Order: sequence, then structure tokens, then C-alpha cells
Amino acid sequence: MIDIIIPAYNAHKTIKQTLLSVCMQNIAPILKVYIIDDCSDKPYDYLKDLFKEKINLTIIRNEVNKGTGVSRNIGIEASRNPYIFFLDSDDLLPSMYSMGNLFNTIEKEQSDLVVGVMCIQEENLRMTYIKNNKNCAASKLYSRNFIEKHNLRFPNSSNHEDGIFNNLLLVARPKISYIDNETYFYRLNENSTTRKDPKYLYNSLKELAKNNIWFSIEAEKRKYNKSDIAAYLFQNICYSYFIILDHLDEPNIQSVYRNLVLFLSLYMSYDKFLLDEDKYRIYCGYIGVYKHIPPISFYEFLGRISNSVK
Amino acid sequence: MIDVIIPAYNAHKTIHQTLYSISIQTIADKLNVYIVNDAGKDYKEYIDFFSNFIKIQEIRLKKNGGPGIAREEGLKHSHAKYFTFIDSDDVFADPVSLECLYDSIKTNRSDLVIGNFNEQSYRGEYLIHKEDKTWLHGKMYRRNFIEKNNIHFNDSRANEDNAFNRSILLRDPKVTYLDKNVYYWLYNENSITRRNNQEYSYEGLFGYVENMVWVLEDAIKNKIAYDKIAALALSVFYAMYYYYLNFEKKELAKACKRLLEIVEEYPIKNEAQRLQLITDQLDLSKEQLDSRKLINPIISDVEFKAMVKES
Repeated sequence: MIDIIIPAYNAHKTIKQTLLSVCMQNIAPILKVYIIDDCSDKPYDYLKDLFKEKINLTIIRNEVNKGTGVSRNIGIEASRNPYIFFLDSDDLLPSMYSMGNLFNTIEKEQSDLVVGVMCIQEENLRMTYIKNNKNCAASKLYSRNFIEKHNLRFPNSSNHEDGIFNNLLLVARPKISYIDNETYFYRLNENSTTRKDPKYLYNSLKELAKNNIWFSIEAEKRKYNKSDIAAYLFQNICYSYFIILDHLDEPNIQSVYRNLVLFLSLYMSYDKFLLDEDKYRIYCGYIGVYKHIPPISFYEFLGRISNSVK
Repeated sequence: MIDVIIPAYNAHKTIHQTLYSISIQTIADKLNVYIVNDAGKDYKEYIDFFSNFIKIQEIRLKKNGGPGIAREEGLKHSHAKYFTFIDSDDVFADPVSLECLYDSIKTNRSDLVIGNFNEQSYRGEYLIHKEDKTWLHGKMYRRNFIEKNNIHFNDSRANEDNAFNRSILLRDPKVTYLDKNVYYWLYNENSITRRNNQEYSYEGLFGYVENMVWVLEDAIKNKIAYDKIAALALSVFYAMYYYYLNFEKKELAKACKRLLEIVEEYPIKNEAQRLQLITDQLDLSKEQLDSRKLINPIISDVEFKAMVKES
């Protein structure tokens, strides 16, 4: 009934525990796992022997590296079950009831999407619990019907590709249910420190800009509501801008500005479809997160955006 | 390294869940898992599968001895600096449960860390237990403290966990509380503790007194501080008194004979402290008691004491 899609690139150290957490599920018999091997140095075939008779496992190998977005798409296309769950090869399902809770809700409420609680492991063993996260493909159960009806796919990217996929899905106005149960455990690992490195960050913002342009093209193709599209673009403008403000004194920050120009112009063409109060609400969401940045007024912020484009 | 000890008696229906919850721990590489097979069918297929992911072994007991003996054997065969227990039908709460207990016991240099555990009801609801000192669920122990103080499990088949914890607490350990749920005590209709509550409560009282007397005798033998023995003996005696008032069964009085001897051998000199201990037990059973019997418990217990000595 549920396909679990795991894109994997050189994940041999962590993927065994990921699969153990799937075996642990009280509804393990109705789960089917697809590992999309994105041209890892070593194949994953040994996992089929290791987990024989414990989980239903299919391994698909990309002979060249195609990136996380394309790997997830390959998973969607290879699988057939009515519901889809994305799991990263270094993360875990936290409880034996995780999948069962998502499944029961989506069947009972006939939702297009069920969102569970995401547990994020921070440093010093602190845990953050996020209830309504929309920025990633994790901790949610998707209805295949809805994905196929709108022909939804991930962009060709390995960065922010899942947030953009979610935006494309959300702009199609799915029926969403929320549950209080923990459905994803995002593990603290070496990558978490990489993410703080400025070079990675700039690259990541470039990808985000590129993906947003892709998003607007795909959304227009499907004739979605322009103010909805504008809202998601503006959200990502705020996200990018606040990261820049947070790194203003760093070298090479100007290059990031330049890379954002195309994205900013795109947004400006949608600006008129977004009500001021919606802009303000989205902007305030980011102010809350970035409290340590000296406050800049909302109108000054809007001014800076339009000035950057000129 | 941490020893994870699982007493198991024909637990094949549920133990896979326990083992999965252990194998996905963030510190799985620091664990030594011991399934103590209490003279039941073997767990070879589980050892074969889980050996691929964690260090795990089966200790086979020739004679069935109950969970206390099984845990004692587990302790005998293991030797890591820290240990924890999990029942063969329970699970750890999430992937960081053991890492949190481990981090706490190391950082605080404690002898015992007490985490929260969630008790699942037959309806699937959860009752949170915080700072619990009765059960073994969700705790981590320092082996050095146990060995230095000659602490063991006894061979009774119920309440032996409470006795183990009480033995530890009598010796003044450094205790840290971890305010995080680390363990799920799952609902299992077949488990001993789940049979009709009322029935278990009454029968269980005999095991409770027996175990507490064992703890006291052991403490006396090991020359534990007078105050601690006196306080425990008095608390248990008055707990039994109020259960007696609730069930009104003479057998309960009979079970307290040795207990009362210890109470009288170790009187509490400080009258205020004595009254406080008695009142604490009173609070426990307040809802169960007739208001008449609440009046002047110090006087009305004379009748109970007489009944105890008669038996």
C-alpha cells in the first residue's frame, strides 16, 4: 500500500539503520522499499540478502549520477502503490507506529497529503519537533493519485528540490491532514556542519533561485492561481534575503546578489498578484526566525528587492 | 559501553520490536545486548539476524527462575560500565533514548539516571511516569555502584524490580532525573502485571511485603544507615496498614509479622519525622478509605498491630 522511496548516494554507513527502522514498523508487510542508487561507488545488493524476508526491497541503479531530484522522480515512476513516502538514506522512522499513523489517517480522511511531526536532532542532544513543516519531502505521506493528476515531479536538482516539489504540490491545493505523531527522525550528521559553510550556502541559494524559476514555469503550465504562485516565490525571496542579511560581512556575498537577480525580476513580475497583507505575513514569519539580524522595515525590504533588480 | 539486558520467557511474539528499537539507537555501536532466555525456546534466528547490526548474544538458563534471576544472570555475564534493562515486550521511545540516558549518567557522574517512561493502556492512551523509583523502565545504572555495594536481584517472581531499586536507593546513590520520555511500557494482555488490576493489587501485596522485608534484611546484613532502614520499614508498614483497611483481609496482617519486628527494632526517634512518614502513606490511600478510619490512625493501628503479632 505504501512505497518508501530512498535516494542513496554512498550511504552504506547509515542505510542499514534506515532499513531497520522500516522493518520495525507495525505495518511492515504493506510497505515496499525502493532504493534509488545514484551511482554510488559500491552497489547495495548485499542489502537484499541481509533483509531477505524482512522487507520488500527493490534496488534501482542510476549508471550515472543524476542528482536527488531525478532519483526521487525515478522512484515515483518505478513504484505503483497508492501512497508514497520519501526517506533519506541517513535518517530514520522514529517509532514503530510512524507509518501506521500516517496510513490510518490518509485512508480515513481520504487526504491528498498527511503531515506528521518531524524530529530534528540538534547538537547537545537537543531535539526540535516541527509540526507543520512544508519545506521538505520528509515526514509526509503523499497520495499517488494527486501527484499523477497534476503530473508533479521534482526539479533536476539536489538542493531544495523537495521544498520546490512541495510548493508545486501545495499550489495545486491538496487536502491536507495533520497528525501529532512523530513520523521522521532527521539525524545530526557531518552534513549539518557542511550546511553552515558559506560556499555551500551560496551554491544552495543559487540552486534555490534556479528551482524557483522552474517552479514558476511548471505552475504556469498547469494554470495555477497567480497569487498562490506569487506567495511561494515571495516566501523563497524572503528566505534567500534573510540568509544574505545574515552573512553580509562575508566575502563574495555580492556574487550571491548577482545570482539572485533573475529570480528577483521573476518575482517582481508576480508582485502585483500578492496582497500587501500576505506579503507582510510571510515576511513576519522570517523575522521571527532571524531575530538576531538588525530589524529592517518591511517597506525598506521591499524597496531593496526592487532596487536590486534595477 | 552499555549493557542492554533483556529477560525473556518465550517472547518470540514481541521481542523483534524490542530488538529493532535497540538496533536503531544513535549509539547502537556502544551497546552489548543480552537476551537472557529463561529456559524457553531459543532465540537463534533473532541473534543471527541482529548480529549483522549490533553486538548481541543469548544467555540460556537451564531452569526457569523468573525475571529477577534472569536479570541477575544478565548482570553476571556482562561487564560494561553502564547497564539498562528492557522487557521483551517493550521498546525504547526513539532513536536517541539511550544516548540521552548515557549522556546524563556520564556528564553528571551519577550512579542512577531515571528517565520518564510512558505506560500504554489497553485503549492506546499513555500515562507518563516521571521520577519513578519502582520499575526498571527507562533507567541507566552504573555497574561500579552496584558491585561496590553488593546489590543483587532476589528470586521472587514479582516486585523484584522494586526491591532492586530500593536496595540501591538505601545506599545513597547519586541520582539524576532526565525529564524526557525514553521508554514505552506497551500494553500486553498476556503479561503478569496486566491481569485484572484489583486481583493483582491484592495478590501483589504479599510479594511487595516479602520483597521489602528482603531489602531490609539485606540492608541490615550490609550495615546500611539506621535512619534509612527505619524510614523504609515504617513506610512499608503503614502502606500495608492502609491496604489492610482497604481489603480487610487478615492474611495481610499475617504477612507483616517480620516487618513489624523490624519496625520495632528500628524505631524512628524523631517524632515529627515519624508522623510525616505515616501521613505520607495516608495520602496514598486517601480515596480508598472510609473517613471514619482516617481519624487518628496512630491509635487505630493498635488493633492492626495486635492482629499482626497474633498470627
